[in-house]
Amino acid sequence: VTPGPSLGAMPGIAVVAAIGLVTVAFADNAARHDGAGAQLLFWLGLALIYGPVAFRLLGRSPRRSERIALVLTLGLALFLVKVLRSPAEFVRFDEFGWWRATHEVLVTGHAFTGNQLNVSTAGYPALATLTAAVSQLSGLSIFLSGTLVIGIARVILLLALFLLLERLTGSPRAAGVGIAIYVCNSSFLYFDAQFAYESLALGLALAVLLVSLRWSESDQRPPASLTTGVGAILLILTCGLTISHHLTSLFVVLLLALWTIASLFQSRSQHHADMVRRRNGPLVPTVLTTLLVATWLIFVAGPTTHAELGAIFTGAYQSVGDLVLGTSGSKHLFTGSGKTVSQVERAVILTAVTLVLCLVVAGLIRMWRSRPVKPLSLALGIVAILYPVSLGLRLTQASSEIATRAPAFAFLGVALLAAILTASPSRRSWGTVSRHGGKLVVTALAITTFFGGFMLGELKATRQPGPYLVGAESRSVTPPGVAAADFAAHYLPTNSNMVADRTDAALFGSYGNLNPIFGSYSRISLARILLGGEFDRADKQALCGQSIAFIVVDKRLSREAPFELPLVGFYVSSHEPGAFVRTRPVTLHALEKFNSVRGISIVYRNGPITIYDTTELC
Amino acid sequence: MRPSRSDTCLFFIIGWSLLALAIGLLPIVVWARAVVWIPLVFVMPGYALIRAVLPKHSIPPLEGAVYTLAGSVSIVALTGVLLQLVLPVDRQIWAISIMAVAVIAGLAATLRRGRETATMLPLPAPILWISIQSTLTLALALGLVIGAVVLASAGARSERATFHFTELWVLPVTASLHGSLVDVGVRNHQGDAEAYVVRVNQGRILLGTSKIHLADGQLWRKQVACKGGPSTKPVTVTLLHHAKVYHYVRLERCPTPS
Repeated sequence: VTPGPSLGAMPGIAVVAAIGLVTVAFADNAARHDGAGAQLLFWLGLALIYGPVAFRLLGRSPRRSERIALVLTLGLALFLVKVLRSPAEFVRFDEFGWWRATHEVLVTGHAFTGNQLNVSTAGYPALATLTAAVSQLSGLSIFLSGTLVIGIARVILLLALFLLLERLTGSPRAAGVGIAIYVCNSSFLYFDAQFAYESLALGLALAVLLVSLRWSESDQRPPASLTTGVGAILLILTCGLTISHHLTSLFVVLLLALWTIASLFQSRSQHHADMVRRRNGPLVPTVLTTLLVATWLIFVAGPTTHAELGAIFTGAYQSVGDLVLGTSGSKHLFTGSGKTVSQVERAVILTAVTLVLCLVVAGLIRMWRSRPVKPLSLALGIVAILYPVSLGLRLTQASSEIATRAPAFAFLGVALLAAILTASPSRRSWGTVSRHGGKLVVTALAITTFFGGFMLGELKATRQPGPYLVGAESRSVTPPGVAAADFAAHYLPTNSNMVADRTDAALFGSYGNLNPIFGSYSRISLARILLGGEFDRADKQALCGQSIAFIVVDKRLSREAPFELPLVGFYVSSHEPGAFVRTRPVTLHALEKFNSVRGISIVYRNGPITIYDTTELC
Repeated sequence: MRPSRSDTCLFFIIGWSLLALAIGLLPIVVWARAVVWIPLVFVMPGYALIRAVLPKHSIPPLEGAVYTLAGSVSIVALTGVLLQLVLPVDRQIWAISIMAVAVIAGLAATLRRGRETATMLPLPAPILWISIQSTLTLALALGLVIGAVVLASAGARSERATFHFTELWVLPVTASLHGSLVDVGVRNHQGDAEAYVVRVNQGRILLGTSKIHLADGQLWRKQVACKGGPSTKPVTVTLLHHAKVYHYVRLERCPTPS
């Protein structure tokens, strides 16, 4: 009996990766109590997960089935690193917005309800609807259901990307190496593993690209039944993607358009522009996706998309313009809120960035030399150029929001270029990879790239759990805040408007069923109400104008020793007065000023958290 | 003629869907519902769909797996989004609609198989060869992963246990028919049983004092009547712990009863 595909060395490597996960769990537990060596243990755990898989994927001996198993092992183990970070609850800001959206579906039975934490939940209901379905049918909590949904999306992403790279390069080895490089993007480990719409949409986007590639294959005329079937799958997957995430949908439209243009030019140059090829090319997927995305934007998600992306892109455009014209300086790299990144970390990040840039340049040169290039490869090659552009966007505060989101897309191109370099090695460079010494060097460089990417994408303080920090996203979520939000959910009127710092806004806007209000009223920043030294007439005007019923104050924002500024650079929103330039924390006097204001009741206290009721005031 | 493996899969999907519908409508334990419904949400609609629309063996198995998962995710999300336009979706609606999608696609695929003769890829789907040694090694890896999750969960629990606090609140009772009332609440999160004294004042008038003993996590609530109906004098609630003022809360005035 001839055995089928085997897993080769994968089971042994999976054990090493699992030991890496245990190491990460120990490291996180040590970090929870500020234990020494927690960081070192964490990096060791990550190296145990990434290193052996990357080393094995670089080799020539593994069979295709082993490579697929290795790719899944790597992707899922890294997903579990994020799960181990907070194994019982969501702690990231975006996750609270999606928790609320899912909760609304469960309570009301209807999707399309927006919330102040993430306005896009009203326009892109796929994640909330799917998670609600899993939760209602299985009886699991929103946390477990959401984790399961994102885990499945991760599997789709890994398999689809592997097949896509394999189809473009003709080499399973190249596809495996491509994935080992893709996971080095700065948002893979945490940002795109969080319970949020991009994490789901990325998997669907890759599936759409894969089925589009299947549609476009025109080497042989497929039977009509296959064309119809592939078309039906394309339609369903594209619909799923369209209702999942704006940026990913738009990226897929852009990529398909580039692919179509590249294939039309290639057809002209090679005199193969016959009707069959035109029908089977990427034109149909491109038109279909564009139509669906445009229709959704026009009739459903336009306002929410504009509300979210419009502000980000406008801010980025203006700040980059100011930087180019010299009317403003650049952001200080490697510093934030008075905290500076260590020299070692800087060196790792710069090495990682340099390695990826070299890879992009070398890959593009190799692609150019091995013409004719497949049109989709050419399109992805152009996408890879987004990577250096995204690095440039890190130079200003406003554009760094885009820089955070870009790598997940740019690295699709970078992964292809890595795969191309692997599939067609030159004697001078990649020919040595087959030797153990060369493989070890490349693995070490890949680990450095992986570490550097993660360091670039995630603040040092939020990589692991730990004691409370001011304005530090996941590190600011603590039991007193959760208990206060739980109180609000049970005893305060649902959807009442409220003002709070960013973390409490996330907690009360999700678990608390309240409606946190950001921004300003008649040019009066709502953050001023919370942070100002005195409560004056302007504050009252803004409070009553926005129908604010509750103010939530966390005394820990004014920690006296050591002085602590918000890690993300602001307390309430990035537009508040003093955001990113503050040198002193808000005073305790400012936070406790409501205690003596007539008309404001103190309805709740648990130590750090106080809830003020302002309904009598207006 | 014996049914092929894919036909068996389709019959299995139809049977499983009907079983899941029954389980989905019954109040049974969570784990049993999860075991039955998770494959039905993430695998079966997509699998039935690709079997219904694609010729036999026309795409490689791994690509089929991608379309199965992504198709299931898309179908369930689209079904929910469309259904909620006409009626609120709840557990029964979800159970019936997802079962219906899987069964209809499964039946369509079965009918298609009956008419189908030609195949694109005549090769049978490869079966993964896993030795006993590999299986044991994978089991070890899985055990370690479970261990890591258990370890992290224990760590998170112990971190939460380091926070010791007590909640105190006072809220107006707006829907009272028995005069002007306030609702006072205390919840203990000190990690152990604690004794408290709750003192309620309206201006300088003492409305009541309660000595309470709460276990960790226990809640105490009491409605206290204001003196002389609605008043502009604030109601202050003071929580004493170990004979010291621990927290206080204040309502600006007693509420007007409805």
